[in-house]
Parts: sequence; structure tokens; C-alpha cells
Amino acid sequence: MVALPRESEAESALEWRVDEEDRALAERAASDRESFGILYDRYVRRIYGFCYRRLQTHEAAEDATSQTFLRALTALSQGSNSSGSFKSWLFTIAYHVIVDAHRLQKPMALLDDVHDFAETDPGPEELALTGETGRELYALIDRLPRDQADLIHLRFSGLNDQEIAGVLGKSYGAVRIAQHRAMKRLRQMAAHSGTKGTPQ
Amino acid sequence: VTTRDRKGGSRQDPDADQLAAAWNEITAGRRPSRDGDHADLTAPVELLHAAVPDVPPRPAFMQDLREQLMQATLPVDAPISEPVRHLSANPMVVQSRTSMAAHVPKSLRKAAARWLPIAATITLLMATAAGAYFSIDRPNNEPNGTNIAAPSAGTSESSGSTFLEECDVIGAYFPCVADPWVTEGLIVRANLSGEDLAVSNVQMQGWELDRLGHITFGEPANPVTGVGVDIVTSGAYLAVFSVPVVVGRPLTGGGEFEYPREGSAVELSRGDSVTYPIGSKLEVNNPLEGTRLHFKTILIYAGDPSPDNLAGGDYFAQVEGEGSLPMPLSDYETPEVSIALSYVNPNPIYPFSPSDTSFATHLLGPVAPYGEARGPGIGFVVWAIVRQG
Repeated sequence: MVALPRESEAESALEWRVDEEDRALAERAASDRESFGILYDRYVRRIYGFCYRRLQTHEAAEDATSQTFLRALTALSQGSNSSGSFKSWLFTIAYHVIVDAHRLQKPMALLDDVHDFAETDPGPEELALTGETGRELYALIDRLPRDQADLIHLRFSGLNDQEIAGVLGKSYGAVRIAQHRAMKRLRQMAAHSGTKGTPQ
Repeated sequence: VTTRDRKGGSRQDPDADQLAAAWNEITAGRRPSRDGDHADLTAPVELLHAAVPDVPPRPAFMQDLREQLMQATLPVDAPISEPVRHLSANPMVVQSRTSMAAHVPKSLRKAAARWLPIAATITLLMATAAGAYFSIDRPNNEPNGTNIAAPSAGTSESSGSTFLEECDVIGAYFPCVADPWVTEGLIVRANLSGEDLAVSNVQMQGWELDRLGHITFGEPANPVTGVGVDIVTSGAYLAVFSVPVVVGRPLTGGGEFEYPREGSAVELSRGDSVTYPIGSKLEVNNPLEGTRLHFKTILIYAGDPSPDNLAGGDYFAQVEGEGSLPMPLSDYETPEVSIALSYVNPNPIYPFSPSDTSFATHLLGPVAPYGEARGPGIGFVVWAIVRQG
């Protein structure tokens, strides 16, 4: 297992406090709009970033961000909220807004080349030759199956695997397996496309 | 992580555990340990995070949205007279949506095009959550700005605690909506010729029209007869017809359908419908500068219904489904038949099971796979509903 640095305990406690504070604010938001404003200020950039990365235009990202917060506000006003993390719940709304937006867009190109890859690890020699760079790997994310791309973009938004499991409606274990496969597939694609760059 | 292999046994995946733990550290802004044999797993993740572009929202957007949220007349303080009912997967429950009224603030109705999705969302939410409270008598000639949401608005209401509990089981809020009812178009048989009624083929087409775009419908090159229903799923639709048509606005307080005269401009927004004899549609325009128009055309037809045969202009159209009525329109005994559109993205709790009832017949529709979004042609289901008039 990864050895965690000592300061992680304090940071974990801080995250827990933020979660608790979010929960309290969300409860008050039903009758106190300013409490919702605090939550909005806290998450609008991250929600927007997630929407932008998934929808790829500022206009679509702004619309999706607007819908996400409106839905959240309305749900809170009706007494609905997840019993878990507010952040996870909010990203769940954003995720489904994005899914809906994709429905009304043209179908994405089939990823035939992605599916050509066998589910095998690239060998050490292959990886050593590839030396993929972050930017090139990043460019390949949208060629992953959509659920795997969603997962990685949720990671970029600061969600841990448990929170992502809540957003995607999957089990904790399924998320871990999926992200492992996603990374393997990314590296396979990088190897396939002959990506060169930063050595590991 | 323990997973099942193909033989049903379980196996551990330490690499997946390792990667997840390291990624949690990276996500939290910490640097994972490089001890051990797993640096090759975590290094690409660090590279990826370093490559994520920083794309902040426009300050003006953030400020505007914040103000909208702080001032929006959402049903925060509105009394809810009874639990909001979920639009049932059963098309027989179509009447449940007609009892609710809605009011959209004029400021939102007149908002810029980019705020239309917000207006639609607010409209839906207000209508579904505070129908009784906001019920108003609207003058007949007042433009109606209310919409029922297309699937992209994704309602979240449910009928009771059991449903809510089941929603919690799957860990999400909006997927609980199994099949939002989009809208329906009303076919008044008395308004159609015998030729237009002698049809039973059904085709659903998806149309898109660019911002400020225009489609001209001329005389078809190949013969085609029947009736069409256009249903707006996104944007604004402005059309002219050569005969009287029937416009459906599902959530109005003063009635479901309007009957504009021939030659008048028919304005529809998301969730609205218009029913017309094929060949009577003269033009369709997208009046908005900022929003692309998407609409479905459901044709009950004989002949050649292909978009190229019907229209000219710079548009995108595709055939999204084929089906048939159980009998020609002329053989229906009721004076009216509705063609309804729903959206089905079933969850494991509410699988979709199309069935014919004495009221409704499932005509066509690829059901969307749960948890996936594959495009505009997936998930819409067309029904024929017998109405007693």
C-alpha cells in the first residue's frame, strides 16, 4: 500500500470538517439562500471545470453549470439531499446534466480504434520506449469509453474514489477497477500512437 | 479490491488498490509515496494531473449566475399542497401531468437565449413542485412561456417515500426518473383528408437547425401523405403552416392544446408540439442567435417521408426509428389520437417493458441503455394514445 505522509491525517480531518460544514450549509439552504451562496462560491469553479472538460465549449459549460446549481437549489429547497457528501451529491447532478447534454448532441464517433486494443498490460519495453507525456495522455482521455473518461475527469475535479462511486452509481470496487483499466488503456493508446516525450 | 473472474471466483487486484490509494493522494493535492514497485502506476497519473488545463469560468458568468440563484423565484418557500407525482412509466397515467399549472417570471421569459435552459428548468420545477400554489388564470391571448422539460431537463420528482428510498439505493438523484414524458401531439381526425388518414407507417426523425437557420418545405418530389408531429427538444421553433394545426403545450393552466389559424406563426419551445398534415408545413426557423434548435418529427405516413424529399435548406436530419400503427388512422373509432413522445433510460429498478394497453400503443423507440448516453437518437419512445375527445 502507499505510505501516506504524516500530514495526511490532519488534511483528512480538514476534509471531514469541510464535508460537515457543507452538510450544515446544505441543510440551511432550504430557508437561507445565502448559505447556498457559500456552497456556490465553494464549488462553482470545480463544477464549471468539470462541465467544460466534458462538454468542451464555454457556452455548454455555462449552461450545464447553471442547470446544476438550479437543480441543486431546488432539490435542497424541497428537502432533498444526499445523506452523504454534498460535494459528491452536487457532482452527481452535474454528471447527469452532462449526460443529458450529450444526449442532445450528435452521437460521438465510434471509438473503433480504442476497442482494437487488447486488455493487456503494455510490456516494460513498450513503456520504456513510449515515455508518454502528460499532455499527450490527457489528449487521449476523450478517446476512452465515456464512463472511463467521466471517471478520470471526476478525479481532476478533486473527487476521491468513494465520491466518484457515489456520482456514477457504482460500487467502490468497480470504480477502482475501472480507473485502473482506464490508465492501462490510456498507456496502450499512447504506445499505439507512438507517443514520445517525458521519460518516467 | 475483490472482483469476480469469469468462472465466478474472486480475485484480488492489488494494482487497482494501489493506484486508487495513490490517486486519492494526488486528488487531495498530496504527493504519493514512490516507495515500492508501483511508481510506474502513479507517475502517469501525476503527469495527467499536471496537464489538466485551468479553465476558469468567466467572472461575469459567475456573478450573474450567483445573482440569479439568490433571486430566483424557485419554490423554496412555496407550500406544497400534495406530494409531487412522478410521471409514470405507464402511459396510461398521462392525465397526471395535466393538472399542474406553472408560472414563469417575465424577466426569465425575455432573458437572453443562453438562459433558456435555466428558464425551462425553473418552469419545470415550479410547475411540478408548486402547481396548486401558482395556479393562475391566464388570458387566452397571453403568450404562453411554459414548457414541459425535454429529457435534458431531467426531472427528479417522485411520488412517495418508497420511490425516494429506492433512488437512494442507487446512489443518485436524477436517474430515478425512469421515463420523463416529453409531450404529445394531438391528431384530430376530422381535420384530415381521407388520404391523410389512410396511413399506418411511423417514422421518427431527428432534426437540427443552426442558430438563425431556416428550412423551406416545398412540394415533395415524391408523393407522401399523412400527418406529422413536431416536438421541440431544445431551443426555439418558429414555423408557418398552410392549414390550421394543433399546438400542444402540456403544462399550461388554460388547456393543453391551441388551434392556430393557417398562415400564422407557430412558436414552440422545449417540450411543445405541433401536429399538421404532411405537406402543409411551409417553413421552420430558428429565431435564436445563441441556441441550436433540435426537434423530433414523428410522421404517420404513406409514400416517401425522407427529409430530402420534404425540405431544403441548411439543416441536419436523420431517421431515428421506424414503426407502425396497429391499424390505419382511418380505422380508429375515436375522434382523436395522440402521438406521444417519452424518454426511457431505465434503471435496474424500473426496467422498460413496452406493452399495448387499451389506451396506448408502443410504436417505436430505442430505449437508452442505463447509465450511458449515446446520442439524440437513443431513448425516445413513441406512443399512440387513444383519446375520447
